[in-house]
Amino acid sequence: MKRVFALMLGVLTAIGGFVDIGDLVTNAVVGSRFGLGLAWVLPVGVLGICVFAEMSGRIAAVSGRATFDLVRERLGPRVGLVNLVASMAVTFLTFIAEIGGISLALELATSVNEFFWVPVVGATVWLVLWRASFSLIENTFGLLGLTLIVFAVAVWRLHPDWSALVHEASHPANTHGEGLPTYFYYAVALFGAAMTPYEVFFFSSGGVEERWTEKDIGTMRANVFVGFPLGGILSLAIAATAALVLKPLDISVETLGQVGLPVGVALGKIGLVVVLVGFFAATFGAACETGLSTGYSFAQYFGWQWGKYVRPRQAARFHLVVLLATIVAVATLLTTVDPIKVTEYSVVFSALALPLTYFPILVLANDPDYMGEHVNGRMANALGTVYLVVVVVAAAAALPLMFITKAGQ
Amino acid sequence: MNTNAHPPERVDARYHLLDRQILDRDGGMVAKVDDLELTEQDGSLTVSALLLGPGVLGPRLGGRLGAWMAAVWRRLHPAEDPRPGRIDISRVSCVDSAVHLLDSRAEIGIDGFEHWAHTKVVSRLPLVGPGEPPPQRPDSPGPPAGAVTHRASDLLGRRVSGPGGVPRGHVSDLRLRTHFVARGPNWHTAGMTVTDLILNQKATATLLGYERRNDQGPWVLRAALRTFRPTIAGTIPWRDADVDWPGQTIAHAGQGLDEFVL
Repeated sequence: MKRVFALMLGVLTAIGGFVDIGDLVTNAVVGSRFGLGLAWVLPVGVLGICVFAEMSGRIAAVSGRATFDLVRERLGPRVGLVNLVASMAVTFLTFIAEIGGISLALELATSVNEFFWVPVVGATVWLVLWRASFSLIENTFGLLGLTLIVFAVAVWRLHPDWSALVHEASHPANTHGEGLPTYFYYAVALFGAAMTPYEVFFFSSGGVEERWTEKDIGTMRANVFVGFPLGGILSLAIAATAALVLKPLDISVETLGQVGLPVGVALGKIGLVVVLVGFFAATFGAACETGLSTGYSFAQYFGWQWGKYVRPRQAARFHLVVLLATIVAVATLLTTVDPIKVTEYSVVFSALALPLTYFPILVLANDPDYMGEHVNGRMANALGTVYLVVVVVAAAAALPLMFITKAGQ
Repeated sequence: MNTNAHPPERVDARYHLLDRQILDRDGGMVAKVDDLELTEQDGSLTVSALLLGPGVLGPRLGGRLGAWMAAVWRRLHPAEDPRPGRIDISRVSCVDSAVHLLDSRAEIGIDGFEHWAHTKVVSRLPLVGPGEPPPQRPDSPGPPAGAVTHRASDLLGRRVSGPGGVPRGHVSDLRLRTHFVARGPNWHTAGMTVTDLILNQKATATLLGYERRNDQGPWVLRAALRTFRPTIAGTIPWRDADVDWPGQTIAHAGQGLDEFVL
């Protein structure tokens, strides 16, 4: 019974924790501009994150070491450092976006200006990372994030023409008067949002935090292969509500309020309240994950003690990095940079950094020195190889597409 | 992890030791193996210590960044002429996906930067809870007086030439024979001796595993890497190698290379 409960809890938090500010904004933007014409990217991205999250979780369970810890061993200190700097930059950009997202959600709920909230949110996020236990963070925000199911309810309440929706989603085409480069620019952004590198860093470090062993591989797989796809369905629902409500009115999403607007139209005030809770939980949970990931990757490169499973006094340098990251993130947001813009750039730069993260994971998951009998099977390797190619293509296309389309305009 | 299983009898310095996480007796993270100290005695070369910290990582990174890293460390270090952190090899109990030590964190002492972060920042933050930092690691005494020491990174990448200057390749790794003895429930390292030099055609050999195994998947990656990056060329016994330490070369007295075995 206890095992079943643990399994369910894991799956539920995986669903709730899947969506972050990048998914919220990108899916709504895409839905409002392309309808469901880009819906095909979601299953592609979700399967990709499942394949690599499973590998990195398995590496953590078998070797007891997190991803970045091993990256330096196999790539050497020089290339490892380049990898660290690039991945850190992207994770940090996402961290800024998440803190901005929480502030925007609070502004929507209270009508108090976001810049009032930014320092408050920064302090709160830091306090949670400083004192709350790992499982408390994971479970609270994962479960609260499930409130985003309200988007799926909204789709149903909007009484769409289901056959037209399914037809549009299953026949990928750019039929909405946007240029082809713009179409592919958003395909890359959506892919980057689904496969954000911090998710695997966090997942494997979390495995070490929770002291997974080979026995936990089954539970880990259930979380990944059930939880992540269901989380992906939430993303799809966000795109669908935007396609149903915003696109016919020619509203392109530029604020977080517009992301939640269709739910208000479908479900009224109660829907809006639930959506705001969902926004808050999803962004707050992801802010914790990205904040911790910043500290994890630094500490893992240099071999410092890290993690929430030891008392803060025992991981002084790790907590110093997390504190500095939070301060710099708050300072950046107080320059009045638009958090939604930061989010849009963060998902594209995520796409750019994807090969740096996923290439070492594929190599490590095949290394018998670490993995013993748990090296990748044929299926994992076939999918891993295909996705490595996809990821390299997406990364190579990201910057040219960004320049050609002036970042999707 | 399982500190009671017999540790490996043969390890490769770069593949299994360098850059690996060092854990204390209780699994706490201590540092990374930033370099290895090698001691020369009667023609044999043994690993005498794990070297830690930016002072040794900097030179391995090379370039301006590496020099800068080492210089910053030197400037911030309280000692006049700081020596890199050093953990004697006899304190190593096992090598698996991490390097395990026989001592606890309190016995080893913590790094100067960790101590600074603890006393100057972390202990002053709200809600930190009671507790004192573990003692700071004393300044390294360095190797025993009179010992002739080198670093593993001094050998890696060096060109090896056979009789008449025939190129043999570059040192990509050092094969070590380990000797562990059981004392109580733990293993202790009684010795780690360089037996062979592992050679690769290029000075910058990869360490992804494909250069040493021909069955590591996925096959597409293996085929690509084995095409574009050379595999291990072979090994030469340490006793046949004549190292010109201040120079950059190693002369090999024997005929041809021995086959590399895993």
